[in-house]
Amino acid sequence: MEDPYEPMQVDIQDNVDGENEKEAIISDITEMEFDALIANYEGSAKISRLIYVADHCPPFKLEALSASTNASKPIEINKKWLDTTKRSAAIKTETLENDLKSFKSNSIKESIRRGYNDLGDHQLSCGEISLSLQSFIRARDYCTSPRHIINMCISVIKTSIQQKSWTNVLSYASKAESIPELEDICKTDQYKNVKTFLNCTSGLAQLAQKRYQVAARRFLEANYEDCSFNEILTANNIAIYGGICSLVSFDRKELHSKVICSSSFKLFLQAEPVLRDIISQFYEAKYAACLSSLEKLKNGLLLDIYLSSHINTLYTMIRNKALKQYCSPYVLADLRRMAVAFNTTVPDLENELTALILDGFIDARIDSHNKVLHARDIDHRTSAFEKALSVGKDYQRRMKALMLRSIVLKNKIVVKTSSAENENNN
Amino acid sequence: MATNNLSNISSDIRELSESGNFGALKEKLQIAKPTLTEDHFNLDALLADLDVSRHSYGYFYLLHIKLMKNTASMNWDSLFVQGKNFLTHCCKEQLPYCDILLVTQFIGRMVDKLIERGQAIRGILPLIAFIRKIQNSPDELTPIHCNLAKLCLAAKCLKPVVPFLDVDITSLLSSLDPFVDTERFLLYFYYGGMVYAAIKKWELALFYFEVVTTTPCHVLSRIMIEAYKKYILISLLVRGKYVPLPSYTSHLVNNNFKAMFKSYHDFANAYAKNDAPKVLESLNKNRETMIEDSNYGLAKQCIQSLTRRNILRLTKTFLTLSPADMADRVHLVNANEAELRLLRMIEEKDIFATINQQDGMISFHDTPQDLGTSVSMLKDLEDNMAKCINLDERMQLMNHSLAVDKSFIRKTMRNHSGGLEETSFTDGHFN
Repeated sequence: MEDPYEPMQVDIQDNVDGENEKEAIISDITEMEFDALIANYEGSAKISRLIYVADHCPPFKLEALSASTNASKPIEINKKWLDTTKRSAAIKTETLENDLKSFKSNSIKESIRRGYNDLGDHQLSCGEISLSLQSFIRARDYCTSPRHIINMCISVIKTSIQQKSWTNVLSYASKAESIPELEDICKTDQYKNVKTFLNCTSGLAQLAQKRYQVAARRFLEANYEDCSFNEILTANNIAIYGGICSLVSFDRKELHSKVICSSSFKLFLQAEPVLRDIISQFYEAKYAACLSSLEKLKNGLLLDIYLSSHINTLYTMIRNKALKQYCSPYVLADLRRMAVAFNTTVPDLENELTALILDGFIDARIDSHNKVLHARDIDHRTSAFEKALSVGKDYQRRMKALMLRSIVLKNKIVVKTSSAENENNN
Repeated sequence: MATNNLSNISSDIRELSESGNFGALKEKLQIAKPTLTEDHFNLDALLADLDVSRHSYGYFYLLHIKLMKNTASMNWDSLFVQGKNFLTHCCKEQLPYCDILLVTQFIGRMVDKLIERGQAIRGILPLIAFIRKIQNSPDELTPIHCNLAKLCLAAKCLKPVVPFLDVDITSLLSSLDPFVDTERFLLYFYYGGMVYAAIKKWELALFYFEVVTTTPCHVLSRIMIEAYKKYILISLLVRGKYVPLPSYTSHLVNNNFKAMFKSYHDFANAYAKNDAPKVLESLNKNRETMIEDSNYGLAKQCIQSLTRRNILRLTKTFLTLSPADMADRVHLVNANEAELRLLRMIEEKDIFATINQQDGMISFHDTPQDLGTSVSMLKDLEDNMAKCINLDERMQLMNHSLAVDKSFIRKTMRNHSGGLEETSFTDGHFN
């Protein structure tokens, strides 16, 4: 129930910076193999990933572009082919639209739904993503059975992923998951991969929106056998996305129970043995080895179309977590030994720790003279007092602002031009 | 004939003031206005003839005419004396009959003239006395509050206005001209912010400038623009970063100000990262703009406080540190300067640290444990709680008066299509 005394919202909102991370350009390809980058993908995913690689990795550009041409059409592309294809596509669109019209005039729901789906499929194959999305969404009103709704959701999700409209993906995934008959339907062969599909696509959407923990949980729900949608995500993708996200968001205990010991996710990790080793090294607190293997993986991940923009954040988060975990059991930690464990120098480590302490991530202080890290004994009483005071002051400030605001509105204080003012008066 | 007329006016003023018939007096004075405007020597004679405490209305009317004439040969000194006379001794009961817009205009002009002639300080006390007279309650904002703040700033004598600024305003005395009201409102909070900034009450200054920048607007006012620049710098001093304006800020401000004052935002961004060299670089780059806006002094104070802030951050992260290392981390010239700064901060009890001269190490200590239980802390807490409770009560009162406000009810009714039952009022919104 809502509290009737809830104050009016006058909170000072934080500005969310919409700044995107700069896209990295990779020129060092020693640790990578081209084939591994694009293995297993199908359809449009293969092409878009190849183009991404071509744009971000000059050494692979040629290979990537020629592979993408091969993947798209094994025929010679010239103006004539282009014209005929365009024309036939246009004719098909027209036929489909006419069909749809006549279905509508007969108002048979099922035919209309099929008509929209056919149109959507065709538009998608023509590359008109937003139009096709519209057609799929329109089909929704004509769904008559839970299966139809699931099909509709799947089409919308697939299209939305191409458009990178992640909120759409999430809302349709939850729509599909809230169908009561989902359990029963998934038992049939045709629909048995639906759950994994929904989990993986929502995981991807959560990842794209930087909610790494939710993403990790989603990917961990995936079932290896049902992973049959290579036109969107491959099993390798799921292993990497799920693995990295769980490294970032789980503590050691969870990492052990949910990732390392998970019988279903183990199968995914077998596809990416390096990552599997990284995770177990992290769990066993072998940070130097873990971090250096991660570093080797980095360039490959930077060429991943969905992960690329998050990699730097994720890596920093993993490293910080490792530092925090290292410090957690000690009252005093020797900085020199810690530097060795993290493959770095003492001054660099000091700087890193300084930043983490200031962010409140690690509760400790550095004895720079003796090179020792002291865990901090927090005076809860004082900090509680301070917190109370600052909250109180904030409240006062907001209330005063609010009261003044109401006076302003009541007295119609508004800045206008004086000429407008004169007009009003006359 | 003129003399005759004037003596008539004098007797009219006396008679009608004493019988309290100000309507008739106003008419008579308006008829006589052209005659009165002709010659100011006669005005002086008339003024000298009247008793300001008994014939305040007439006195003000004549004085206003005198001031508006503004002849070259005006004897300002005598006008100031007469003005002071009026402000200090006028009769409170007759003030409501005076046209408040004229009063506002009159005082604005007097204040400008005082400042122009370098005699700002003369006006402060009379103006305070006058404000007290026209206020209906001590927490009412009048259109002449801003003149007082301006006078005090010009006279470099800030103390008298602080008690006015410290009051939480609960109502507003209108000058009956919305344009003047708005202008005066903005000016009052702008000058108020400057006063608080001058006496280094940064938190309050920030609040005052915030009020100016969040005033509803259809166009951007120059006052808002200047206030916004100061708001940025002071929010750096108070919070160490640019504090975004509250959500009810006009979209005009939100959409335009960031781009308009890029130099200030650059400075603020560098500051928020605690990066001293970058901040200095940005200051040097934007020096001209800031000097032009006369905000350079504020910006320099920001730099000072950044060093302080950075040293404070060190105490949170380090137990021991060498002065040289410290100088390096907070970007000071050398270890000596670091030591000097540190000494000053230790003295001011900003930080708790000791310097070991033998091995040249600084040790930072925790805040003494007993601070959390000390009497002053508890008292502080209690005072603040009382303030919060007080505010909350006033809020409830305001809420209640809003709930029974006619126009509000009408508006809410309109929003609820199909009418409004009484219950949804009390349940839904207010109680």
